[in-house]
Amino acid sequence: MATNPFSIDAKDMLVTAGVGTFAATSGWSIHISKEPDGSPFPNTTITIYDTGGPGPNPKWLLEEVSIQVRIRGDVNGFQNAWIKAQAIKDALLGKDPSTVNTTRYTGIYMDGDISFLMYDDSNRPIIALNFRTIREPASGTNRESL
Amino acid sequence: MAKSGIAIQKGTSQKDGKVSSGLAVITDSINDQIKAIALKAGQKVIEKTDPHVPVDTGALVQSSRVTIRAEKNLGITSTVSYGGPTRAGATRNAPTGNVDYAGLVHEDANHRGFKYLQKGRDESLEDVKAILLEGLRNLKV
Repeated sequence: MATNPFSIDAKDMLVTAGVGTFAATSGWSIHISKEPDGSPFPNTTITIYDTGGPGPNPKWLLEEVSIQVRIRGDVNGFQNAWIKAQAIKDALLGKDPSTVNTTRYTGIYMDGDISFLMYDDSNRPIIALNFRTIREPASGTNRESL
Repeated sequence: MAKSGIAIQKGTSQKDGKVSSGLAVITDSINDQIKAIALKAGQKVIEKTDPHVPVDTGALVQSSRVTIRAEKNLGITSTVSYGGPTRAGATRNAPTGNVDYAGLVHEDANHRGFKYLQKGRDESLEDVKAILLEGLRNLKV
């Protein structure tokens, strides 16, 4: 089984934690790599982007990759969006080591804290959190398990 | 600028207070060399980052800088930043000659240039390690 991007495994962590539902058409709707805009999706979205990381270890199955979690609230709904950002922070930051799908996540950290970016053209608040992780994929062609 | 070892001999030949002065000269000399290494490392990060910076008027890419600080509990730090005064002068995007959108461009996933500095930092890590190792090996005391 191929190794998931961090974004997809983080999505599963957030769904498990009850923070939102993947591609839901109401409530907090979680998406990967592309923030939806308009029907059938709500204003309240959580979109996860893979943002790279330092070059992975060439010998060992060890990677340090990062994501940005972008929260878009309802029109002028800053406070609820911020509360959701806090829930995401609580769900991921400092999480106990665990295997999600096939990858072992040994630690999840934040780069900076919760950050308000702007209101978009429809007056919806945009808030961002940046996470990085140290993880061990289950398999790789040339690399060895730790 | 690095200071010569002659001052150390002057320091040690005097009273206790002058000895500590001499040690300070050594420290200053090493600190100056480490600051130069830190500056070189920061410049490498900028070199790797600039290609990721979106260019419209050029104000953002011309606002890069390396700041070297010596702080008591942190040692010597090298900080690479974008934003603030730009060497491009007043432009359409920065009419006062001051770039106030560097952070927004960096953090807005819908914007070209998303994570430009993080990408440059990540890509420069091996080069920065090499610069630090080489610099530390060649320290002159």
